[in-house]
Amino acid sequence: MDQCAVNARPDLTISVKIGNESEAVTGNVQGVLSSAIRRTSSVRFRVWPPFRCFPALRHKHPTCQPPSSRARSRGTRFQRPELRDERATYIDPTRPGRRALLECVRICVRGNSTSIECTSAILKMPDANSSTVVPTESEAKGFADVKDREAWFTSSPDPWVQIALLEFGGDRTFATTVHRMIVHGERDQQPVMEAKLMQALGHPNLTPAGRQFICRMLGLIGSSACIPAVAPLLQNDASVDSARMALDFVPDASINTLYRQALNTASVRAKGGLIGSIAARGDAQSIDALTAIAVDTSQSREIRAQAERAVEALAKRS
Amino acid sequence: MKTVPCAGLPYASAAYSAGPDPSVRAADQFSLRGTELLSRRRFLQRSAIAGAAIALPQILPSRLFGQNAPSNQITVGIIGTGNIAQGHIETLLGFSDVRIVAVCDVDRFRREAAAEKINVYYGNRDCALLGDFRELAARPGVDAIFVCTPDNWHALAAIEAIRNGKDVYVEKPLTLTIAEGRALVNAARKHGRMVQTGTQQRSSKRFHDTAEFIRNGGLGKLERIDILIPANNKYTGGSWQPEPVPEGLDWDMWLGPAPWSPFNRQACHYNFRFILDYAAGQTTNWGAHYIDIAQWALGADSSGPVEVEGHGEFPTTGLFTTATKVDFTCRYAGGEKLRCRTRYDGVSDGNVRFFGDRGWIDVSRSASTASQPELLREVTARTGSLKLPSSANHHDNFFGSMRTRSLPISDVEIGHRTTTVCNLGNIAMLLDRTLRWDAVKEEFVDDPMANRMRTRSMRGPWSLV
Repeated sequence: MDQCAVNARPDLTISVKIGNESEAVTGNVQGVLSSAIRRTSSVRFRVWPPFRCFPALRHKHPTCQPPSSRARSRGTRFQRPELRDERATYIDPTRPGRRALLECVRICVRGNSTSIECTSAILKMPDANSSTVVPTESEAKGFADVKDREAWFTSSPDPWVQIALLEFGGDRTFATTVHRMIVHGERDQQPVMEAKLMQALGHPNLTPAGRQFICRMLGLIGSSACIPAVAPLLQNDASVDSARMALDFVPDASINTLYRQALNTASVRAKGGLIGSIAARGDAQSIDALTAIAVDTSQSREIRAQAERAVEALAKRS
Repeated sequence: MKTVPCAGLPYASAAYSAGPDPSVRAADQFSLRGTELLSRRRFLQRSAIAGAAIALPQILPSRLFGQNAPSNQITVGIIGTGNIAQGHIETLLGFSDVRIVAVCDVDRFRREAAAEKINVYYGNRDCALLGDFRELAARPGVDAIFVCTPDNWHALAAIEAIRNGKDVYVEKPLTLTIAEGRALVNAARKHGRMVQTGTQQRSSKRFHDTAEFIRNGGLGKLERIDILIPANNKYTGGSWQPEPVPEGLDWDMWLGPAPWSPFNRQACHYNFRFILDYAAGQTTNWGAHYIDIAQWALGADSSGPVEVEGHGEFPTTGLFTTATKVDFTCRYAGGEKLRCRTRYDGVSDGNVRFFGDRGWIDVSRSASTASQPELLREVTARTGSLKLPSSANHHDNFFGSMRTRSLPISDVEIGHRTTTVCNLGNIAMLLDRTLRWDAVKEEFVDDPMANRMRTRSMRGPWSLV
């Protein structure tokens, strides 16, 4: 069974079942999902296998994971490889204004046949009453036990997890909730919240927007405790600015060392930001490293000038 | 943060008759070394000194001193050619002794339109077009730079201009953060540059006379100040879905030091002011004008409140993030309270109302009202012994300060202190609690989170150094 071949085989026959409706569509997965989304303004699916099989989908999954404990507890059976609950936003390329939060799609590939089954579909209309939830077929039939049923009534997403999945252009409500908890929380509650932020930073599906938001929040309450979680971000050009957001205001000398080390590997863009942070932190021990940059003719004119000004500022302080 | 005092330095209006202050000129010498441009600037300055020597520079037309001659004209470059810059361009074109020589914008269509307007007026094709403000700042033959970018860029663009020996007119609010404001003040003082903040109500007789009246105790003991600013409630719920960057726009440069975000048309021109990464909403957009007058009347131009309490409302999702309901109160050392809040009557103007022992006076751009008519008569009579610096025209005042090397009416320190009050209000509203403020150290007392909010981490390669 080759999961990643699913999207590459437009001749596959795919059956789609959304709630109580079903239809058979021939086409690739992207086409089928587009078709489903055209019929509804928004569809919630759960998707197996994960989205690395769907280039059009915006999530990237490093590996296929075993089923979550939640999936196992529901007694869901899967074809190999077993995969876990996932969720992502699918944007219909033909109609950019329409979006679907994909959740609960079961994809089975058997020979030339693929089926996508929406075990849980929540149809959302764009205007009022958009919160109408259509119970899934399996839910309508009943639950395995009372505990499952109770969970169905009471479960709700955890904002501290959802912030990791924040997308540019997506709903900021969970992020706002977390932001307000952070700014309104008592000072002695901050370590707990900092730990939750670090946990979110380690989410396997962490998005760039999620990372940026989490680092901003750490910028408000971060302490020495968050350094191990954030430090690796300094090594990547795509995340170094977010890392500085989290670390710039943490009064811990080890961050100065991390910044100095990052100077050695940073791109021009990242280096400029790091020099600014080093100067703002008043790290006089960086003067030698900055002086070396200031006289290094292989550096850009702007970076050399920036390093020179930083040295001047640091020398004045020390 | 180090505070650089500005008390004691003369203002441009006074300097017209008194001549430039020697200490300011001495500071200016620091940047008068070397280049052709600076030599030329020295020449401009000496022309003004000669004018001062005959003691009638305000009465005699400037053309008698040869200021309209091309070699004596003040040359101006404009960074950011959007909404507010259009007003500046039209005003500057009316100055015979000022020449706009370059425009800079990250939106090619905008900068071309601005240059075309200037070229048509001058009847030539001389206006230079630039996409990078650093090129304009370093350009020889430019005396002054107008910074009309989104707030996010104000400090960096102005500091770059100052480093390159230019005098600067910075649109309000002066900067996005408190730390950036202090850095800009320090840069201006270090390099001896004149920096005018675009809080032009200081050049309005109505506001000037009211502030002077209150400073002279005309209302008796000042008890409180109520400020209303327009609402921005229509700017909620905007989509921030990523969109393709339109042709001609350098989006990365537009973002500058702000956190990276994909392009969205509603996040860009004009509407940027309702997104906290780029601006601070109506709190600074209108608050910067009316809080500025309150600060003037309070005599707090080099200090500020000692406490601030805020209860605002902010959008919970969508594109826009600035307060839709502004409501914060500052308490000053003398016990006066300044409350700034949103108005909901659709009026696109603010107003500031002063309450004292003798009643109240309310002043806006359109009118002055008072609890008793005689208070208004007393305001215009200007009988108090304390005379505040005056200016009849904000641009004129800036160019006058350039020529005399004396501080303009809305000097950078004043602009910084006013913007600081706005930012204190925003921080208090975001935190929804009372904060104590040390205006000398420019830091909150015993509130680490609030102190972290005085500044921001800039996206590389941008920084304040």
